[in-house]
Amino acid sequence: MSGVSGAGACVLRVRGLSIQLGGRPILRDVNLTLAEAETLVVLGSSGCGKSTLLKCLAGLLRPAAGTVAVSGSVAGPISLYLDQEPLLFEHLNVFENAAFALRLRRTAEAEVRREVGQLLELTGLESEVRKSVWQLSGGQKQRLAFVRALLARPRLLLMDEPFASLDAQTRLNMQAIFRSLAEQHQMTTVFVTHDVREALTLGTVFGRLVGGGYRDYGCRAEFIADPETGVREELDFWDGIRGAD
Amino acid sequence: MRSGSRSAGGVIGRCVLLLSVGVLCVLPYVVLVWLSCGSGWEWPRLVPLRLDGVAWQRAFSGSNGRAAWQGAGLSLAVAVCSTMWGLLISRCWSESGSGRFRGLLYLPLLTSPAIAAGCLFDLMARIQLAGSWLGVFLVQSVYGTSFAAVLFAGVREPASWRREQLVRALGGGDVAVWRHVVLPDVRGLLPLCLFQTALLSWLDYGLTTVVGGGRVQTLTMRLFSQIREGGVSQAAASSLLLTVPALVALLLLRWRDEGAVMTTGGPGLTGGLRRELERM
Repeated sequence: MSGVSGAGACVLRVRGLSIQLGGRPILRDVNLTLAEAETLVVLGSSGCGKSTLLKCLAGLLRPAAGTVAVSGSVAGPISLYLDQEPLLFEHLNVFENAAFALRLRRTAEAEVRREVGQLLELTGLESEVRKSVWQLSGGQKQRLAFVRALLARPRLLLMDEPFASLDAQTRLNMQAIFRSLAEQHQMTTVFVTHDVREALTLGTVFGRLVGGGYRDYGCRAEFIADPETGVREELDFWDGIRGAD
Repeated sequence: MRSGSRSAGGVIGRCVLLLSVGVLCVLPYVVLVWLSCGSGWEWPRLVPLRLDGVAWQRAFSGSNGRAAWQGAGLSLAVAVCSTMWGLLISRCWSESGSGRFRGLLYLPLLTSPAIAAGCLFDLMARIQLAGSWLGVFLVQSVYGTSFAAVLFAGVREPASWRREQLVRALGGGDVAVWRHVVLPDVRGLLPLCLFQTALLSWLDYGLTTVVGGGRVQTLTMRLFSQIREGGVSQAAASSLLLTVPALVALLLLRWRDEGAVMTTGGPGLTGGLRRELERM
C-alpha cells in the first residue's frame, strides 16, 4: 500500500483515490505515501491514467473519491505539475522565465541572479539567458521549464513524462541533470513514465498503474523482480547486446 | 506565334483591368481632394472657380474643428473602454463557456445601429442621457464592447488555461495572471481592437443622430449637415478628414506587423494566426 522508503517525513499521502473522467472510471482506490527527498516513479503503459493521476495530485482534477494530502510548509507552492510540453512565457526571455517564481515572491535581485545563474549554468543554458523562448530547441525549453520548477521550490514536484519528446542523447542528459538536482535540492518528486530504463535511472521508490489500480513496490529489487514491469526483459535485452559485442 | 500573341493579349488585358481598378479606387479621392481645395463650384461648371483651400481652413476652425476634436475624443474614450470591457467580458465568457452567453455577445452586432438607438432612446431619455455626450458614448460602447468581446473570445486556447494554472501554482495572483497570460495572449489584437472600435465611433452616424438628438456634434454629423446645406467643398474636406484615421490605422498596423516579423522573426500582430497556420 505504500510507495515510500520511510527515510524522511511523509510529504504526500493519498488514500482511497478514485478518478472518473466523463463518468468513466480511470483509477480506483489508489493508496500511496511518499517521503521527503524521494522520487516515486510511476510506470504504466500509454492511456493507463498516469497523467490523470498526476493532475489529480496537482489539484487540476477533482477525484470521485478519496483524499490527497501534501504536508509540510515551504516558501514556494505546495505542488507543481511539469507537463510533457513545457509551458513557457513567450513575452519573457530565458532568464525571466527561469526567475518567474522568484520574482513573484519578490526575492532580492542579487539572490535572483545568483540562484538563476547557478541553475542555468548547471543545465547548459547560461549562454541563452537573453534569448526569447521561441529561439530555444525542444530540449532547451524542457530544461528551462525544469529550472523554473526547481526555483519555485515546490513541496512536491509532479513530472509528467517531461523528457518523452526529447531525442535520446538530450533525454539522457536531462535524466542526469534531474538526478543531480534532485539529490542536491532534496526534491520530493512523483515522476510518471512508460520507459522502464528511465524509471530505473530516476526512481528511488516505484509504483505501477495497471488495470485502473495502483501497485507499489517496497524496494527496487521487488520492482525489478516483478515480471509484469518489463524490467527483466529490458535488462536481458541489454545483456544480450553486450554478449553479442 | 498564335500562342505568343494570345499571351501578350492576356498581359495587356490584365494591365487594363488593373489600371481600371486602380483608377476606380483612386479617382474618388482625387475628386475629393480637388473639390476640397476649390471653392465657387456652381452648376453647370465642371471645375471649381478657385483653388484657394478655404474649406481646409474652415475644417480646423469654428464648429467644424470643434466637432472634429470632440469626435476624436469620443472615439478614443469608446476605443479604450470598449477594449477594456470586451476583454473582461470575453474572459468571463471563456470561464463560463456558455453558448448562450456568446450568443448575447453577438446580439448588438446583428442589430442595426439606428434601430438599436431607437430602442435605447427611451431609456436614455428616462435616465436623462439623451442628447448628451455620455449617452452617445454609452450606446457606442455597447457596439464597441460587443465587437471587442467577440474578437478576444476567439483568442483563448487550452494552453492559456494551463498557463494560468501554472502562474497560480507558482504563487501568482490575479494581477500576475493578467500580466503574464491574459495580456500577452491578446497583445497582437489590442491595437487592432482599439483602432476598430475607435473607427466604429468616429464614423458612426445612426447612434449619434438618434441618441445625441442633434446636440452631439461629431465630424460625421457635420459632414451630413454640410451635404444637406450644399457645402460641397466643406463636405469634401470633412470626408477626407474622416478617412484619415482609417488610413493611419491601416498603415500603422501594417508597419507594426512587418516590423515585428522582419526585425525579430517573432510573432507580430498576426503571430498567433501564423503559428496556427504553421501548426496545420
